[in-house]
This record gives sequence, C-alpha cells and structure tokens, in this order.
Amino acid sequence: MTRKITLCAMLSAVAIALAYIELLIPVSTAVPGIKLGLPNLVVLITLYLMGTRYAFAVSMVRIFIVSLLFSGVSGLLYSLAGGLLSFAVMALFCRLRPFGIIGVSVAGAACHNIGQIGVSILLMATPGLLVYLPVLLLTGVVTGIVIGASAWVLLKRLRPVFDFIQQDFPFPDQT
Amino acid sequence: MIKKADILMILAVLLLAAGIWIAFALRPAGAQTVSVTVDGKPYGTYSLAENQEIEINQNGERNILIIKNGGVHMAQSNCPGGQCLAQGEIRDGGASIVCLPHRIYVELSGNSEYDAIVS
Repeated sequence: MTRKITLCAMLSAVAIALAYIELLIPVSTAVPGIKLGLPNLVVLITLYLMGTRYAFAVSMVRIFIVSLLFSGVSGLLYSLAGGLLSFAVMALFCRLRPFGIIGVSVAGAACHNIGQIGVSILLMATPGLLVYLPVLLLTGVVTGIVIGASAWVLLKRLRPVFDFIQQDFPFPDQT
Repeated sequence: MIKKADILMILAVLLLAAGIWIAFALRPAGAQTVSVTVDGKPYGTYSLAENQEIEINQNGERNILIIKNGGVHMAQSNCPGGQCLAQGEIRDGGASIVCLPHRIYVELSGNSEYDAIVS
C-alpha cells in the first residue's frame, strides 16, 4: 500500500514538472487556452498503471498545485473545468473495450478543451468564444494522438513498476 | 494502441470542429461596433470608426483597449500571461479579443446599427 501511495506521489510530481515545462514551450498565443497537454501523459499512464482513484489524485494534485503556483484562482477554475471533464471521460473510455489508449487520450484532450471553453463561455456570458473551439479540438486530436502513443510506449517499459505494485499489465497480448 | 473505435471518435471530433468552424465562417463581415463584456455583463459599446482609448479597471486588474483606424487591440494589461496583448488587432466581423484572467471579452459586431433605413 505504501508502495502505491509513494508511486502516486512521484507521478504527481512528474505531472507538475511537466505542467511547468509546458508553460515554457511557446505555443500560439493567439488562441486562448491552447496547450500541449503534457501532464495528461502522466494521468493517462496512472490510469492504466494504478486505476481510477490514483489517476484522479494525480490529476487533482497537479491542477491545484500548478494553479496555485502559476495561474491563480481564475486559472484554477478553467483548469478544473477542463480537468474534471477530461478525467471523467478518460476514466470511462479506458474501461470500454472498443477504445485503445490513443482514443482515450484524444477524448481526454478534446474534453479538456471543451470544458475550458465551456466554463469561459459561462463565466463571461459570451458564446462567441466558441470560435476558438475548432482550433482547440484540432490541436487536441493531434496532441492526443502523440501523447497516447507516448503513454503506450512508456507503459510497456514500465512493466517492472507494474510488478513492483503487484498490478496486472493491461495489455498482456501485445509485446 | 489504436482501435477502430478510436478512429471513429477522432473523425467525430474533427467533424464537430469543422461544423463549428463553418457556422462561424458563414457569418457576415463588415463590422462597425465594438462591444466589450466584463464578467458576463455589458461594459460598453463603441464605434469602430472613432479612434479612442478604453480603460477598464476592476480592483487593480487594468486593461487598456485601443480603437484606431478601424481596428481594435489590447494595448495594455496587467494580467498574468498577457495572452490578450498577443492576440493582435481585430478588424473583421466575428473576431474577438479575450482576456481570460480578467474576464474581458471584446467582440466586433453589426454591419449597421439599423437593420434597414427607410427615408
């Protein structure tokens, strides 16, 4: 049990670090809320490695600490909206047999954007913000695919960690 | 890693994006009024034709919007990140400038104040 808690804490730390790195990488400033979604890589891995509860913990810890450090209360609100919706969808999709890890990742990325824009629209009563959604969805698909593929590769290399916490590897029929 | 359902979902998302984009692309252009919304409430409307400086001050959260030569842009802002400053100038109908941390939304609208003028 201690192994799992420790592992979860380490994963949360990695997620926070990735969130910081993400802020350093210049992405189009013309579109509000555009991001690479690097922390989602960790949430995704945790989802397959440790399950829903631990992944939720990693996601929430990341959102709160990164908001406290970098973006303030309004940032927290947008991040929570996107993060909660994205997590709910990812947790659901990862349990549905027809969807692979890339599907889960893209769904998560898309919902993160939809959640953030949705809350912005509600907060500012301006449906005109929807004009940014197409671009965000497109980049969400692209980053979702890349992050999903990265998570897949990483999970295969993390087999010793699965053994360490006595968890079954979720993709036994693939190398 | 990737299954058929994933591909279908990706296509659905892309279709959604395309749909929204088309909906916005069909809007008529030729804007004349600048409307500013703060915290969801209308802050003011200004003519795009008149060069002016609009200052928005909410408890220390300061923004300055400049209308000049038929375009609007955010000239100054003390928000974290300064994304609104990088959004550049907007001139076309449907375009907008957003300052998310300060909850300010600037939109261009209206081909004309009146739908029709009969004389």
